[in-house]
Amino acid sequence: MINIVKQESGYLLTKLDVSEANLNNSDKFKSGLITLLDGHNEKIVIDMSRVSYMDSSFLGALVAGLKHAISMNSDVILVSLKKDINDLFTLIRLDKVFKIHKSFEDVLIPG
Amino acid sequence: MQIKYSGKYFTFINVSTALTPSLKQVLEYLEENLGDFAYEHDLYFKAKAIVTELLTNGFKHAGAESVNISVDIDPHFITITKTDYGVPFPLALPGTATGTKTRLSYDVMHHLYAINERPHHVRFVVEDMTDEEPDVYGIGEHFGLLIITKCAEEFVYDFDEASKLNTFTARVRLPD
Repeated sequence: MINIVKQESGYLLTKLDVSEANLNNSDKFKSGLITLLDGHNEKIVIDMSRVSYMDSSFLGALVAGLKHAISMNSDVILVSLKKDINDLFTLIRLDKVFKIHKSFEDVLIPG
Repeated sequence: MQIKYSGKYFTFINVSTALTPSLKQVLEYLEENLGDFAYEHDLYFKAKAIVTELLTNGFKHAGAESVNISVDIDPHFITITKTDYGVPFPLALPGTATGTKTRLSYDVMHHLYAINERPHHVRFVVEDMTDEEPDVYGIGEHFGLLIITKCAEEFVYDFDEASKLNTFTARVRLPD
């Protein structure tokens, strides 16, 4: 579900391989993300470009993953969100707690 | 755009694998009736979020075999209603006094309340907190009712004691 794309400059770029991110796969995603965090020293970057639908269960799993990351001085960074998904984060102000970028390149070269 | 009165009633089986196909049927109906107007004014986004969370909430908490979604469009509102005969919302049952404001959830960004406006009738309201750099540990992990309340101009729940029917109603205002 979370495919590793590449490692670069302290970041592990991954891609979420689902178009419907909901309660059918949120538990599996959460455990996969925590396993990734526990097994790597890099900050985890998740490419969300495939995701067209996201529900509150999946948002909860993402927040749980971010809390786990912060507890180990790591991070979960989101890139390539479709407009509706980005709007959902903004609606409930999760854009205040997640670092959200247009692309992986934007993560590597801030500003 | 001249908005015409229209409405449609859907019945969906209440299983998790039916959530996305059910949502797509509702969205197709909205697209047929509102077209680009819905995209231009974020109506499609709000309706999508509301229906997603009504269906998800129904699956997680109602325990009913099926759920009904009705979508009614008039020149001023899109009204999305979910009904089922599952487990009632507890704060609408006898024992909660009219006027009671119960905090359902709170974190560093939002406080979500249920207000018992009259017997068997609850209105959901949200208050935004002002913290611009919230601590992630102060944030909850349950967002369903919050999302609906923030997308809708009005979000209420009614319980019919006689028939045991649960009704959640969310109204999204259309721009003038």
